[in-house]
Order: sequence, then structure tokens, then C-alpha cells
Amino acid sequence: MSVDDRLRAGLAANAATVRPAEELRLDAVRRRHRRRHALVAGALVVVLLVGGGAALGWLLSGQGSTGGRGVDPADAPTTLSSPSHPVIPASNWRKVVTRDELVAAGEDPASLREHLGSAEQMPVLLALSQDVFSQSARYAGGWSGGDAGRVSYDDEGRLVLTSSSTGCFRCVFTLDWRLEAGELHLSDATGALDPVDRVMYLGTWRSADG
Amino acid sequence: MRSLEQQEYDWYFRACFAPVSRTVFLIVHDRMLAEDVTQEALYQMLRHSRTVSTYERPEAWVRRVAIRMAVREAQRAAARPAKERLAQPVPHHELPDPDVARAVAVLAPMQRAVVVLFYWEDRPVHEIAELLGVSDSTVKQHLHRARHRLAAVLGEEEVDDVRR
Repeated sequence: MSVDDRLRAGLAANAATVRPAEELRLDAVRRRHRRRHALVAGALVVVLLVGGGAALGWLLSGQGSTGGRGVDPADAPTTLSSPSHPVIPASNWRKVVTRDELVAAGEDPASLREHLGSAEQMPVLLALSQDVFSQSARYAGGWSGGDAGRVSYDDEGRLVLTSSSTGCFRCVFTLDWRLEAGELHLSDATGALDPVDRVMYLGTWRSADG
Repeated sequence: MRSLEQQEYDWYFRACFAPVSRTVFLIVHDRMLAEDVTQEALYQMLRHSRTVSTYERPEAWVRRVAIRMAVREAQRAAARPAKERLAQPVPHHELPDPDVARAVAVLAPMQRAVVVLFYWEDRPVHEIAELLGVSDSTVKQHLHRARHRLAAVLGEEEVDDVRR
């Protein structure tokens, strides 16, 4: 080996050992920032959907037109349309993901140590409403928001989650679902989920609504 | 609400701190000192923010200040009595390539800085000369001597001379 190659390799290896505390803290800040973005995006979707729905309802009920008295409130429709297939009611679900599952799915053990500390398990909460979803998990530093986005159902009644989080913007998860004795069973309808998403979404969720 | 100046400073802090710390570490061989030096360079940027913010690349200014401070620190350390230096041994054995660390550590501070900037940061001679405030020929001379010495210490071959 030439002295030049030796120096390049040696200096690079030695420099890599410097991991300033600030950089580690900034990594944590960036993660929190991404999660916060995801929550804000989720909240924005809720506001837009609720606001848009309300405005549309107002227009359809005739109150948006000038001069018209509109329909009697008693006769006003409560929903704009009803889906032809069953949907999951607004609800909260909980499951526990283990460190082993995440490692088996390909998560970096060093990153897991940073996220989970010494914990072997990570409780995950999935909040579903008619229109939006959000996922949060208990990391070493406490509960923190994760993925969030829009809920819809395709023609076959499958649950379609479209992520609004910056980490996976517009990622679509199409899931077969089944509600059974207070449990929500989710499975991959298309086989398109990556291994970590499979761990985080699929399987049996227990009701967290008491 | 934070001022724009503060936001810009935060941005430069994020962008500069880790990479500059690594370069400084390779020159001073002390992690804590490397972080202190980088912090000080960033503080200098904050103090001179009105002037520095008019520069095209304020982060290059921070790097230059940090590297010059690192060279001064290395010169100061080299000037300390040998017994005092023995009292604060640099734990080279903890590094992935202790041989390279030891070999670079015996170089004179300016040679060390030139080697780090040339081989680690992959900077051309002209840029190194600007960073260190010396002429191109001085940088080439430092590099030539350092390579020769390092090749002997590391037992590696010198393929060709530096002509960048």
C-alpha cells in the first residue's frame, strides 16, 4: 500500500471516532423535528378535512347560497355519503413491538439502543378516525409521535393509510383488516410493506379505549 | 421569535460543528480540545456575525479560524516540556488506526495540519495554503517532508510526489 492510501484510510478511520455530543443531541432534535412535522401534517389534514367537510356541508345544505333559507336543520344529512362497505370506527389501538422483531426486520441495533435504551419492548399506539391516523410509540425518552396521515378505504373495503410524515411522505399501506372481540387484525393486502413497516403495522392490535 | 441571526447561527452550528471537530481532532489529537476549539471558532463567528455574514461562505471562515487555532494549540502542546506531555498521554491505542495517529502526531504542527487537510479533507494545495495563510510552495514543502517521514515511520512506499 502506498503511504497516501494508508494515510487516507487511517485518518478517515480515526476521524470517524469523533462523535461530538452536540451531533448526537442534534440527531435527537432532528428526529423530534421529523416527528413533530408528522404530527403537524396529520393535524393539518384533520383541519382541512373537517373544514372542507363543514364548508361543503354548509354549501350543500343551501346556507351557502344567497337568499335561500336552506333546509330545516332536522332534515339536514349528517354525512355526505355513506361507504358501501364497513369501516373501522374511530378508535385507538395498542400493541407491543419487541427489539428482536425490529432487529429481525433489519433495524440497526445501534440506532435501536439509542431509541429504546435498555428496553426490550416498545408499546405502539395507533389512533384511527374516519379520515386520519397517527402512530406513536414509547421510546427511551417517553411517548413520541411517529407516522401519521390519511385514512381511506379502497373499493374492496381494504384500509388504505397514506402517510403525510416527512420520513415516508405519500407512502401508501394497503391493509386487510378484521375486527374481532375487541381486537383489530391487520395484514398486508399487497405484499408491498417493507419489513419494519410490517412489524410496526401488521398483526393484532388490542383496543386502547378501555 | 428567534432572530434571523440566531437562526443562521444555529444552521452554521449544525453544519460545521461535527465535521470541523473531526479535522481539528486529527490535528490536536484531543477530543475535548477539538470540541472546545470548534466551539470557540463558532463563537468568533457569532461575535463577528455582521462581517462574517457578508462573506460568500461563512462556514469556510469558521473552518479557517478553527484550523488556525488548532495549529496554535498543537504548537503550544509541542512547546510544553516533555515530562508535562508524558503526564497527559494521548490514548492513540483507542483509535482504529493507532499507527497512523502516532506517526502523524510526531510531525511538526504545520506539517500535521497540511497532512490532515490534504489526506482527510482532500483539499488541493492552493486551498490549504489559503486556509493556513502560507504560500503554495510552503504547503508543498511541508507535504513532501511529511510524506517522506510518514512513509519511513509507517513502512509504506512513496509512490510519487505531490503535485496538486
